[in-house]
Amino acid sequence: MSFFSSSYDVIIVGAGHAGCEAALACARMGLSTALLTMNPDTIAKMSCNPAIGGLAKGHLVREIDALGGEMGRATDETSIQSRVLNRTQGPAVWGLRAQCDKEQYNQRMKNTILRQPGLSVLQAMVDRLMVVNGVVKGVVTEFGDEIKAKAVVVTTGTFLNGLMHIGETKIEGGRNGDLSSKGLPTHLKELGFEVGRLKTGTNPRVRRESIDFSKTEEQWGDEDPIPFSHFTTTFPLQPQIACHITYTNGQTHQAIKDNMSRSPLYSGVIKGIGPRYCPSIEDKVVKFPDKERHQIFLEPEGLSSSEYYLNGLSTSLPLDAQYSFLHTIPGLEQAEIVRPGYAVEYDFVPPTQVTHSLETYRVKNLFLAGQINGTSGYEEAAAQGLMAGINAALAVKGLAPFTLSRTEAYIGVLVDDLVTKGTDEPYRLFTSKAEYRLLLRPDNADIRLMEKGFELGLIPALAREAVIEKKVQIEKGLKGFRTRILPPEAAPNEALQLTVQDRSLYLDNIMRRPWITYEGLRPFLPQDLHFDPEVAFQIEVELKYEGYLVKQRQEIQRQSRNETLPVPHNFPYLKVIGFSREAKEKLNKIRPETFGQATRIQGVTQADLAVLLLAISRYSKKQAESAAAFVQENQD
Amino acid sequence: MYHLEDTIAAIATPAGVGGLGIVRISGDEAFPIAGRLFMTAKPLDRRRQILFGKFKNPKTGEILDEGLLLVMPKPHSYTTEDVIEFHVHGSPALLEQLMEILVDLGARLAEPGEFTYRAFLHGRLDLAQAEAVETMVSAQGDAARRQALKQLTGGLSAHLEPIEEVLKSLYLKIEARLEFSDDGIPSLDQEKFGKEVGGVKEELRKLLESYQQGKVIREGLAVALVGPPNVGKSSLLNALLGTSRAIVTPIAGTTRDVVEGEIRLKGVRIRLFDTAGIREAKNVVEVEGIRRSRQVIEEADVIFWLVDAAHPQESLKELKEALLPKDRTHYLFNKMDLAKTKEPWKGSNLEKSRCIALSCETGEGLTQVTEKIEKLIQTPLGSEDVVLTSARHQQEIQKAFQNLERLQGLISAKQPFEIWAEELREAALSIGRIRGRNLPATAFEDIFMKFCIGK
Repeated sequence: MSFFSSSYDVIIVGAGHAGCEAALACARMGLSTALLTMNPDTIAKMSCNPAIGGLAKGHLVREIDALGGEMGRATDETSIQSRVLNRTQGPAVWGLRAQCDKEQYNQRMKNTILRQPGLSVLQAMVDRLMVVNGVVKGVVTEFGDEIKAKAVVVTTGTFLNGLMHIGETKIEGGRNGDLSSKGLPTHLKELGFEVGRLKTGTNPRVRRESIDFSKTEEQWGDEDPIPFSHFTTTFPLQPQIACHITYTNGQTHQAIKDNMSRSPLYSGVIKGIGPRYCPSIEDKVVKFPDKERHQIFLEPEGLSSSEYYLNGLSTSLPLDAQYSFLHTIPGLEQAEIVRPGYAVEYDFVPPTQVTHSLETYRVKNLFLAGQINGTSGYEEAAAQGLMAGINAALAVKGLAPFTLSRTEAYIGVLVDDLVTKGTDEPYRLFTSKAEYRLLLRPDNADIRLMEKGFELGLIPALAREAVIEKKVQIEKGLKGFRTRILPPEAAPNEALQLTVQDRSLYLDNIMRRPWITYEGLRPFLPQDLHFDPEVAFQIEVELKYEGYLVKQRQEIQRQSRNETLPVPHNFPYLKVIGFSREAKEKLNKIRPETFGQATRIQGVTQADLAVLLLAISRYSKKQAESAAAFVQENQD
Repeated sequence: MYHLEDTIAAIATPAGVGGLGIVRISGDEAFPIAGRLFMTAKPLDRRRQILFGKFKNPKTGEILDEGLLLVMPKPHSYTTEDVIEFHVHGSPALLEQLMEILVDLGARLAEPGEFTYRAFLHGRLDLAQAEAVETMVSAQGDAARRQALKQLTGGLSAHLEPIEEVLKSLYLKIEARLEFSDDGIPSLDQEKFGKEVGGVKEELRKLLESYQQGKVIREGLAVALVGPPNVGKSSLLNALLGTSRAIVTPIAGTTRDVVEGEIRLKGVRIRLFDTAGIREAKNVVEVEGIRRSRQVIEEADVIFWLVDAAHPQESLKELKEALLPKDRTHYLFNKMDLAKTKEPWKGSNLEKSRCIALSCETGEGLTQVTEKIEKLIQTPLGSEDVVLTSARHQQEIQKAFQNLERLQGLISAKQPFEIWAEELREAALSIGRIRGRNLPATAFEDIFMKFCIGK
């Protein structure tokens, strides 16, 4: 029974951070796109903390931006405090981070979506997918409306069988005040998908007027803040405000312990697995009993909002217990809770069921992105949304998928980790998960990715030309530094610790000295080695880290053969003699797309890999031979 | 995982002493490498052939053995790559030394079954053979695993486990501060951290040293006789060869005139090198001689500096200019029969324990010299610490040692954490490879146990 029928190229189910990027990418790639959401007021809502970026996450936002995604620009426009973490620890681990005005952010993104040509927004809850012969053909809403599409991207966040916990109270819903989707997870199981369960939590929010800020420490952003987006020219756009820091104490911990039996986490009510990097305050108190205090950040939810987010206090204790421990914390003695903290359990589809293009193996043209793949975090969601959207569009156009490798981008690391290793807790990206961290820096995201973004149709031609010119300038600079010597008037120089002997040294040797910077050297450089700051920065990093970078590039080169060697998806692993039992099971389950991916599966040894490579060659030879035999027979 | 781009080397004959030993290399570098190891009049030409000749250590010029060279240019070889085989005498020590030299020259030690594996990938084996190969590679992998386990239940594992633990914890200390810089982890105590790095490095140094000691057992001890002209270097050599009552092996036709003889003491080969005087160059031939003397000194385990006991001042003056490594040098005061005093080293600043009074003429002091050598052999052999024997393990530990050396430089130059992490990760990876582990995946998990992080 259908009341309404319509048809699009691509349907995006869910309008969170993944859904928005997916929808914009599809529409911008010229496809008719529908974005379905249970509630258009909550488009791109920041359900948890009011901040974007941080270590690895900031890297992701830079990459999303270089590929033509929206998150970086939206963050810059709504930022109310901007800070770079690890500023003294090297450019590869700079964590760009911004506090955002939540309301502004979701308004900004909502308007971008609504104004985007070719993109329709429709309020609807999806109940099931239309699947014919293993290919997705559209969706069916809870009212029975059928909406047809050539590809579907599902980005449902925590809404699949979402169940919230506050103390012993359970409420169905994906976010406080919202509904829960029950039809779709059941349907996914019917389609044969394996479905798992995860848990995450959020923190109490309190009234600004009830906080005594005099008892807290102020924390301001950087004086020379760095924007996320390559396209942001003026930054910051609005007043920057402070966060505040306070600490828990022995009394707080006692109050938490006194109520522990009422915590759904510890009473065994919650079955889903929570993230270890984002522990609840209950967890912290239990697992680190020797720690005298835990740091709490008081983060404003917006310029005009009176709510404050208590970062570091994720909890699912009952409301009265939340009050009793909160009131022991300096500055929060009189705090009034506006929204209590809670835990939420939800269904996810273990991501070993999708390919590197985020398409499911089971249903063609069906893509999954965000928390449904077991991740957590706005940035991880947006990155996957962008990739899933791009690939849905390419699939509709009949073009080859777009994937990024671990050696090209953090997005590649994220996706490869998910599809190769799966996850049993909400997955968060860390910079140490990248094998080539020094190469995947936030400062070179444009150099790494912008031309690809252009080829996809998501980056304007002007921006691409600028990147190409930037690369030319960097090359020119590197050559200059490697072939020219220090001019005589530069040495001796006490401030730069340069001696007369240094006059005969090539400039790159001088640059490698730890205390030398491009800026310091600049007055002595010939005119044609004067570059704008961004180019100079690249030259400086490239020369200072040359030894490390060269080594990492060589290593990548060595492995490239493995990464490009495909493994047939229907490869009969179980029939191969010579695998260890563990390797056989893992390979059969994960079904690596390339040999390189197989090398990263835990439990697959060197000997197993050798067997695999032999078996692949044999298999493809056999395939070729039987094809030849087939042709032969038909000719006879 | 197997890489196909590099040149691989392996001992092809079973472990243990045998009549014949074969070492095989395969890959693009096979010809250049063999060219440096095998002594031929003209460069190796690229055709299938068997040559007879001598194998020398290109670093020291020492002749290792004589034997056959089997040359199989690509594509007509087992792997279809350039393959060269060295057929020598089947002594395990010799074969291992050959392998070390090959690695030095740029080859990589082959993984189990890797030759066959290359053969198959290059289409050398047909489909029927391939299945057998799979089973074999897997069996060899198992054998290698068992072998590694066996080795690791011994002394090496006991040494490596704590080292790996410390490396991991150092790595985590840095990563935790990078990944969770906003989470209130106290700032790093750099002095303590530097000390811990120094501690691990020292452990690695000991292991590398033990490898050197093991090498003395396998390769013998090199003794250089050095000093000004006419202080009796040759007389001492002859005296040692004579009194040792061991088999004297004068080695003829070597490329280096300094190799003089070999004796055995307590079952260990002692190679004696009589060098040209250090300051007597008058023509081109002599300049070359002096260059070689320098090289001998560099590579010798023990250096005996001979002093004319009758005129000690002159010899000692030259000693100053010779710049010898003090920790390996001992001083022999020869011609005591002509000396004016019983302790001619008096008045110099030489350690008395490193001085021996000697007369090759009367035989006085010769016993002390051989006793000295014996003592030098025994010091390393007496200790129980010779745990590092495999060249592959030595390679990895050497790499880790260099990582830590660079790390110390980074710490003192106050370089950013992100490259400290790089050095530590690589060091831990190297140690992990010996123990058959893959570090990064497991190491990071521990962060959540050791640090209270996350908001």
